[in-house]
Amino acid sequence: MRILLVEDDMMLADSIREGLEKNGFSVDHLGAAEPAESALTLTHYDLAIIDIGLPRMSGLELIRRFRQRGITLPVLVLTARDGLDDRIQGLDLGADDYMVKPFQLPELLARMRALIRRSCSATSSELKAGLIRLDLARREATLGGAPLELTGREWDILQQLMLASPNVLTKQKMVESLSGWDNEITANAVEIYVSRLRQKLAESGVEIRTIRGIGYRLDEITPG
Amino acid sequence: MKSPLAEHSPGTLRRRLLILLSLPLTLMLAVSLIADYRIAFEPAAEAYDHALTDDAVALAGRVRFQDGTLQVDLPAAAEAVLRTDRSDKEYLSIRMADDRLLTGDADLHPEPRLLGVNPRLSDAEFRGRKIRKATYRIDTAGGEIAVTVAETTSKREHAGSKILAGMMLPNILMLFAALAIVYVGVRRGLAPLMLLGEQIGRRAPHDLGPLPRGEVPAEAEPLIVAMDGLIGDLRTAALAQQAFLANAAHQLKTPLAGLQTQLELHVEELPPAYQERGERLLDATRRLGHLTHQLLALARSGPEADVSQEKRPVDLDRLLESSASAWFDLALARQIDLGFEVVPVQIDGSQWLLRELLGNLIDNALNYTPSGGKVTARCGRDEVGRPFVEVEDNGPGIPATERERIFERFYRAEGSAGQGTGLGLAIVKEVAERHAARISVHAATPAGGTCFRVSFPSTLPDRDFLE
Repeated sequence: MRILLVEDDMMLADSIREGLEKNGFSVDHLGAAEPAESALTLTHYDLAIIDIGLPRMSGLELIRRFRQRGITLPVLVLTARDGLDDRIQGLDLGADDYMVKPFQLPELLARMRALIRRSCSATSSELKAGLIRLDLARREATLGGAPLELTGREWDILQQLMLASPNVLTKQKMVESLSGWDNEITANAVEIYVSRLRQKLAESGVEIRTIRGIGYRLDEITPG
Repeated sequence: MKSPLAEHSPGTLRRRLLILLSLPLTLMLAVSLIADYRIAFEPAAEAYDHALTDDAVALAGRVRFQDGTLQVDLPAAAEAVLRTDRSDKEYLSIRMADDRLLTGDADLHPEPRLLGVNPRLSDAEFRGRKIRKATYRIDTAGGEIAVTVAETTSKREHAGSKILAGMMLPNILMLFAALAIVYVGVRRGLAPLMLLGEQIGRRAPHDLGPLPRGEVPAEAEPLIVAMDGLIGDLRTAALAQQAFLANAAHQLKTPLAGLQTQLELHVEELPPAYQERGERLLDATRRLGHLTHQLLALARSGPEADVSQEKRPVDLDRLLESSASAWFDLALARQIDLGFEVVPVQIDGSQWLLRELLGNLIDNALNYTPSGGKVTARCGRDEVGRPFVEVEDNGPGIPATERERIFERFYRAEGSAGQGTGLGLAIVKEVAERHAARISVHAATPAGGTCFRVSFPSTLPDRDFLE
């Protein structure tokens, strides 16, 4: 996985690079937006991490420019100015997620993985989390390489949880997307499917956590 | 900006005008009353004096020079007529040049001669009473004689007080009418200023727009212009503060992020002897980051930082759902069961500030609830239709005596877990105030626990309908 990191603070950039390389990513670091713009057009990256407060051209301007050129890679924005710019929360600037400085490395990694997972599911029709792999085209699941038997509903729920992770998937959303024209699914039924899924995913490196009153979240327990 | 200018000063101006107009007016009316009295009383006094002089002249006509002596031909009946008056006592005497008494009251003496004035009128005291006296001197064959006629002053005084009484009432009425006109006039005249004061007073505390012009008199125009200028300066200062905060945030948080990430990377690699020290460093760095965030949040939730934050519709339920994940991690680490009960409800507000409010309430609850405890965040509408968010825990609870103080900046409750910055609830309070919301703190159950509820003002009915 090749990552472009655009951050002008050397200490922060070095530690992010080191942290990412430890976790198996290869990282190209640039300290300003202008060279990053050409790097993005020349090289294929799986993800870009861009600081908003760059000298001269801001990170937001950089994103706007390469999005205009049709570059679709997932973008994670780093910001120190949480709240001062509402566009960050709305993410209507072309970024896919944002993190407020200072952040914890594990959370950065979790969000990067989620972004890559989502972008891969669109390009290679494959979803990965822990030891689980979902082949979206064939609707087949494997756990540590071995086939995993899932019913249709269980498969749908797992796919949605994996796509939403590390964010919470609300029960309301699950009910809405699982109910078809001919059959309504209830919140109670969702609970039953989830508890069955939990049994099947006992040794998978992921855990489905219940957030009381809201929904579920799929967490990777051992990264990788 | 609000109270001293808007409420106090126009009142003083009005009082000043009232005093400045009423005092001279009252004085003027008093002087005019005295002058009027004099003018009215003079003819009456003249008439009485005239009668008195006539008496003296008539009496002089009764003196004859006969047989070489001066004799007064004054029959008892005639004297009785002269001495009779309805209200005053009358006195008379006729004396020769050597002061010998020809007839009359022996103790009544003529007034000394005054050149060119004959008869002479004067005020004097006689037998202990005030009298009006007419002295008439005339030459006879037997030498000069002085005829003195006098009367007490009762009827003059009576006439005076009657005139005064007659004039007093209309004058006093006029005074009151004048004062009333001044009062109403001043009030009316200052009404536009009072109105302006009220309008300024009624402005939202953070409204930094230009003042209303409306019916402001031309004299107040410079004042308004000056105030608009002042407000403009405030707005500029607030924007400058925003820019400063943005810079400060960046300058503080970026190196902090570097420090924290560096420590996270290397703490695990430290030899066991240094491991604990490293963990403590990392913990302190995280707290420093948290404190920085809190301080900036507090600065940004202050009333002076309002300009850049517009109010927009915010779905409280969505807000809870979207922050759930972040707080769930902390709850997981603390082994606290964090749950949510959300009912869709929308208010007008700043999304970012409301997220801070909610986050700090949940953070606070997680900090003061022992592991194994339970925290529940809710949103919805209360029984009177006001939107609310609340966070309830089953921790040890807050004594009623401390419930006011916990919202003070840097206040730390006893037995606090050591993680808090002491700013969280101060931020909650600021943000609530900015949304005109009310915070209530009560025990969750009789057994303990705490429930913080933030109630927002009722939203407009049409919005309820849209929901």
